[in-house]
Amino acid sequence: MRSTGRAFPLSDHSILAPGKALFISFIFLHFAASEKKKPSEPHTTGVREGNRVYFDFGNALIFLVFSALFVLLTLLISRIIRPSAPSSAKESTYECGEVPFGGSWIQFNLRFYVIALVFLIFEVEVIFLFPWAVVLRRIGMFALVEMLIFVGILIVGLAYVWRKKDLTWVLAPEARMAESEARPQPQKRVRIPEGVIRHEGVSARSRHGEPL
Amino acid sequence: MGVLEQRFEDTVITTTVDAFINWARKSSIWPMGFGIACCAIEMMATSASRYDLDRFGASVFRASPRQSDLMIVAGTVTLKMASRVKRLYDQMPDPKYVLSMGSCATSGGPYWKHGYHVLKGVDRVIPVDVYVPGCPPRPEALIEGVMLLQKKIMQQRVVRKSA
Repeated sequence: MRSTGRAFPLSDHSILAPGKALFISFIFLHFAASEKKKPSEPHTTGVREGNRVYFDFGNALIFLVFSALFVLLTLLISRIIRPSAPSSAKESTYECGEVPFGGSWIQFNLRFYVIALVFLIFEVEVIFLFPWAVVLRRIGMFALVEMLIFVGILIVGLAYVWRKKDLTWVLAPEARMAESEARPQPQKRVRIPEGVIRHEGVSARSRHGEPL
Repeated sequence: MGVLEQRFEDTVITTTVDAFINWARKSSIWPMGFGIACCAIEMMATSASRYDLDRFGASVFRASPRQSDLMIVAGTVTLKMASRVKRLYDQMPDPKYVLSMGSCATSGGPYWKHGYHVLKGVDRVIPVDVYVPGCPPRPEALIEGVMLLQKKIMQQRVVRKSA
């Protein structure tokens, strides 16, 4: 028997059901929204014809209600139809075939934060630079000066970060000493008991070793 | 057990409902993006445009077992991998299906005699619905396997009591 059908909402028998339902309803809404509208009347301001504005918001309300109902209905139908076979494996946190161990609260270097921040700023700068480069000739000197000011501000920031030695990942010995004196002493590492890693039956443990 | 699962006798209504649900299920089999060995290359070819597994609604490869309906065991299951395969199968939501693709997954294949590290058939750790022979099977063979699985799904009793 040939099947020509596509993903059908009724087959949502999994935990994924919300995802599928949302996806389908979004697609549906997208098509509904992109339907050709009638040629609209000349633009009228909300002050003069307030009712008309309210009516336009009514469209949005209908969309909202419809999408909410659609999702709820799909969820309800799949809840009625689907089999129910809960198990501990289905509730484990990791889904790559490995047994999770340890807690998810891990420590990582706080300096990543500064690096990420600097990266983000200059990424945004690049995003601004591209459209600027496209229209530079048309706008002329004004655009050039404008961008020089913008880049100048960022360069001041870069100089500040540089001066603060946040650009060097490996600190000089004296700087490292100063940093370790400034920050509170790190706590003793919590060792994960060996059995937690070795024992297959344990799915997840907190860092203190008790079951989550 | 679900709300309506296997609670009704065979009547015109329940048969129709079952046929409808099964039709929906077989038309949207989402496999897990999970290839262990060279069979996975054929699996990829099957889902690509030339063979286009999507004609059967079965080419939406998911990156997580929690979103998958079908596990295509495409390749040699080593003993080390076997426990992972089992765990991934356990994490898939019901109803779930397994297609054993190629000789290795079916019986150990070329590793049958001397493969000290190979599981002699994936059906030793998880229940298999369809076996596709070949080393590796051609995409057409995998498509036939999926179609056989669809036939099998159409015979399921969803809201009717099991016979």
